[in-house]
Amino acid sequence: MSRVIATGVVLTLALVACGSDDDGDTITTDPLTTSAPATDAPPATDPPATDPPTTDPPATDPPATDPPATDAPADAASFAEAAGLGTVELAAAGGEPHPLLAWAPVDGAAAYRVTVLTSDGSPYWAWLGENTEVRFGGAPDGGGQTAILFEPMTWTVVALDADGLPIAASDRADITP
Amino acid sequence: MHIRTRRVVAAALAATVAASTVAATSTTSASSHRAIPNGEWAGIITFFGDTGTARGDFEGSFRLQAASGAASGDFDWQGIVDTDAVGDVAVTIVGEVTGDTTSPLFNLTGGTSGGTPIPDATGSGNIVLTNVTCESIEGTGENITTAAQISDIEWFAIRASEPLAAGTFFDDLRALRVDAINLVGDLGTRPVLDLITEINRLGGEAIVLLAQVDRTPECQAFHFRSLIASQVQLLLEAVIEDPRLANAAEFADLVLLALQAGAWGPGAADADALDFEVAITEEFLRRVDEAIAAGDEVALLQLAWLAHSVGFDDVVDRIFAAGGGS
Repeated sequence: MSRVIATGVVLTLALVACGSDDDGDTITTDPLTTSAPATDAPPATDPPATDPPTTDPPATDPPATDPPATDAPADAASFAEAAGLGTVELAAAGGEPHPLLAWAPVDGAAAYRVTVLTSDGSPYWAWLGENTEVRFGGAPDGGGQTAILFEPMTWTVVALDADGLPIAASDRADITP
Repeated sequence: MHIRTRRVVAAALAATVAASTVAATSTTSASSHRAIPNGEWAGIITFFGDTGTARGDFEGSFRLQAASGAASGDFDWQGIVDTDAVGDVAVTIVGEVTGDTTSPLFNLTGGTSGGTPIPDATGSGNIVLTNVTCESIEGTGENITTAAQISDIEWFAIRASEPLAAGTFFDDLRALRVDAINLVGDLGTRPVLDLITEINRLGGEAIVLLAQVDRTPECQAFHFRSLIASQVQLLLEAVIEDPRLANAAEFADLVLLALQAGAWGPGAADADALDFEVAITEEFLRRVDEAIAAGDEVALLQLAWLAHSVGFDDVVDRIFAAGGGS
């Protein structure tokens, strides 16, 4: 389950490169030539990232054929427990490109931080606010050029107190378009 | 005489600012591999010009077409110049866009000052592209042919075929980006937490604006770079450059704000976002090392939360193994 940061970087490189403009005269990043950061990260225990997708998803019709992620990264409940935090209970979400993400309020919480990971565990989108719900992408009605649930992903919520300190965290939950 | 003075001063400023187009005030580095993707683009430019005896804010629109490495188009700017001699004078500037798509040339061809044509309106400047995605382009300037004091410059375009001089969207966009730029300028003089709160608010406004713009076929589904992503990136880059500017909690917030803005991660769409992501990761790990070495439980909890949020579970494990986070 453990994922190495370098892997995440490479995966992101691959995704961005995959999203290069199709004119062929602009973004020319080659993920294979971009070095992962020289870090002190612990040694990799997982196999290397798989090849990046070779078929770009259409801009307005995100793919929904992949099965939901069933091997979400490390369990957030264990994170909350290990960190001595409370738990944030998530409501079910999914089924559309901009689903409503909702969670139960936490006593003492001044703000909530939502983070969404792609199916390979790469960070994709985040949100910070006082409400206990947000539409995926952040726009009240979704749409436009906002973040979109284009594949099965996972999401978490962390509750923060007035000083910005985490006081509760959710499980990492699957979300499917 | 007054009329002539007015014309001369305003015309001088008009020619200067038009020639300058944009000056290289951005701290964002240019990258030679960037080019405007093929297609039709429309955008805005705003800047402030000052000759010493006349000064004013200019704003306007441009449109250009990129095809086979060549750029072509036109622009139309307006401003109210405050002259020492005669007060406010309305100035207009028009010109054409030529050159190649890696550094398009904005070439002044005419203009008016106080309603009178400027007889010797000449000058030009190249655009340095500071960010290119499938949906938007941003830039600054170089090769300015006249020595003007130009500041507060914004050059930004999205895919569109119609002029975008008028309209609420670009008025709101211009105001939004100016606010964001001002926030970047406040770093070091205001509490970072205040800046985070404000940039988060502006980010919300940016999302609402961007939600009004349809995706184009040229872009992939996962792209969503915010209209203020560059400003969020500047804030975080400054913190990476000088870590004393932000504690662990503030660093975590900025990293996630940058993700929220699509300044890094798959939503970024700009090739150089990869370098930014590497820089973030390196600083993140450096802070983890530092906090472990110092036994800083508060910082470790913040960093563990950040690691958990972005899926760096091995880092979470490492922090907990070091006794942090609980």
